[in-house]
Amino acid sequence: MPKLLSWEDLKSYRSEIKGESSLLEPDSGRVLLAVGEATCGIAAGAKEVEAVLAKEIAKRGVNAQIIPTGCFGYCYAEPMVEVRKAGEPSVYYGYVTPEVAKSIVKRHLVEGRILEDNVLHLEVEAE
Amino acid sequence: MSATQTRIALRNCGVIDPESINDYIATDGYDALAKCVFELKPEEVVDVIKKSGLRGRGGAGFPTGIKWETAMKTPSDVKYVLCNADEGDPGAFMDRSVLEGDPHCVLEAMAICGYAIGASQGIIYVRAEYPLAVKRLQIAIDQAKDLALLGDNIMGSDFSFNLRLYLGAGAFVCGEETSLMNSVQGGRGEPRIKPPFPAVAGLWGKPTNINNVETYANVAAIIRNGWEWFRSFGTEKSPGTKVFALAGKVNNVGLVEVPMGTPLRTIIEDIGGGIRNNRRFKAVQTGGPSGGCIPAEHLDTPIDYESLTSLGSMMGSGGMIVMDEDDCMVNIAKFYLTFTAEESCGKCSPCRIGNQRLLEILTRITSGEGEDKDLSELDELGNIIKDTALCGLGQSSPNPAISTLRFFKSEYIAHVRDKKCPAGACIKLVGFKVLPEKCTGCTVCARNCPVKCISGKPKQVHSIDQAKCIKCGACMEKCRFKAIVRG
Ligand SMILES: Cc1cc2nc3c(=O)[nH]c(=O)nc-3n(C[C@H](O)[C@H](O)[C@H](O)COP(=O)(O)O)c2cc1C
Ligand code: SF4
Ligand code: SF4
Ligand code: SF4
Repeated sequence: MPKLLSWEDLKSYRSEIKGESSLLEPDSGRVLLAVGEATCGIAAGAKEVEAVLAKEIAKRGVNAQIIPTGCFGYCYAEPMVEVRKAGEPSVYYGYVTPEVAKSIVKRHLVEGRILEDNVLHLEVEAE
Repeated sequence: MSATQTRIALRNCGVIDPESINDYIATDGYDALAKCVFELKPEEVVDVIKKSGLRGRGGAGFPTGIKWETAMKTPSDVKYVLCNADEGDPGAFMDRSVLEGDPHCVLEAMAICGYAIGASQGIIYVRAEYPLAVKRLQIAIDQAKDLALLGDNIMGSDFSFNLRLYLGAGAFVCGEETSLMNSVQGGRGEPRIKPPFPAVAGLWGKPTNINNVETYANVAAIIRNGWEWFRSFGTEKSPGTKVFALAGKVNNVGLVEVPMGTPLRTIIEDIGGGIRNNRRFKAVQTGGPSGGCIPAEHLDTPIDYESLTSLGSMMGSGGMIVMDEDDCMVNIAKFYLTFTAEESCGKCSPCRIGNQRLLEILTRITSGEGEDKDLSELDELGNIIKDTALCGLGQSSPNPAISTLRFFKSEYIAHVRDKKCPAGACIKLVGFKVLPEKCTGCTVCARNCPVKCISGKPKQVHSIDQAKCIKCGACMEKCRFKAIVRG
């Protein structure tokens, strides 16, 4: 890793890594699957969900990246998966079982159809 | 769940990968530290925090900027920055979520504090019971050091700041700041009298700034966006937001962050989705073992430090436990007193002995052996303990009893005079009965009753001899047909 030796270094480092980070730039065409993996999520089975997502993505050759993230705040609905597509509003899935995880990849990512029955409707005003 | 939350402390939780410093940097991470180190004088940093009106999120709500200022102005060759990540309130998980979801925001804030007060060393006192938080914090520290965002000569500047973790000793009282510092020094986790305050003489007698995890989680955002921005959330006296761990009988248990001043009702009914199983709301407990229970008639109270205190409760660290009609308020008070009596460090007698006496009174009342004078004694003794205990533990431990006595006196009276528990929760005060329509006559209850007071022939409805029953509950637990109920 480089040493950042000034504020300028930090800024240019940021612009280098931004494209691979969890922050989606609108027209990057990237797709992220964020899985809530704080203690609450892991206890509810998030690690299995992540494994299924990874396997399905590989199997179907889907271009998506998995991001293990912290607590979404909706502990009652864990495990949770957020489908984050560049330039689109996120879709949050709750109570995700390994079967639902499979469908998320097959139906949502491959066929482009949202799994309405599993969607959690959230409205959070960010910073 | 349509109500609006506002995320400042939790801005990155559930958004970034907490084990990736790149993710944190991508969301403008470490810019606030750079701005301080390269553009602001320490006094200017303190000034921004003071003007923001940020108050401690660990319990007491002390203005953070004033604390920083005191530590900054106290001359010393060595100073320390401490983070209180002990989170000992039963049912609370706000700080754990921040540490597990966004560890870098705490590190960055501690470095900013170090720059402001003139400290080059920091320690995070984290519960050993939080292994995932510990792991992610250590990863974060190592990553930040590798990039020169922590350690010696941060970003090539003259400012150095080294951070390490200290795993907690597992006692509730170790969350009290002076006790915490004794624990770090290798001593017993016992509080000492203040003053001197930690900002003047803290760890190893040196000026020490100690803040809670969530307090720190607000700092970088304030530096980046300005104090005026922060003040645009919340109320005049309690600016910003507060994170609550919503638990108990609500439909949507979870972590919520709302602007200060939001009514309790909004959190419970809109965000929490109301009470489970269509039961009736009875009370909400805030402030954990130091707090109190707030009844339905005060649900429209805006959440801020002063309002909650005026209701005999506390903001505390942000635990919020919702109770319904099946919860007995006397029993709840007993639950918290059991906790604090056990966690009392024993250093001062009001707390060591007084809380035991309070617990005995509550145990008597919930067992149907209470008398009228127990109620006045509860109130009197509780207030004496509050006035005379050495540290915050004893100074607040009677609150659950005093506040339930204030708002739910009729429930206490029912226990004392009628020997009844209206909520049906105090086992000693409720009977057990067999529901004839459900009983299959399997005989399991009769065989498990320790005093053999259940009779009935096989395949016929059984019955309980109330005079002999010792109310142990074994029969209800063993009946597979749910044919035995309280009542
Ligand atoms: C018995 C007791 C337990 C406490 N436990 C905690 C705790 O777990 N976490 C915390 O941040 N503060 C706790 N506090 C409050 C601390 O003493 C101190 O006020 C706090 O760390 C200051 O940080 P703040 O100003 O950012 O809130 C506790 C206080 C008492 C009396
Ligand atoms: S109030 Fe309780 S915990 Fe605090 S010093 Fe006294 S005995 Fe110890
Ligand atoms: S265990 Fe239940 S079903 Fe069986 S005899 Fe007792 S009450 Fe009836
Ligand atoms: S509560 Fe205990 S003592 Fe009473 S009938 Fe049931 S098993 Fe027997």
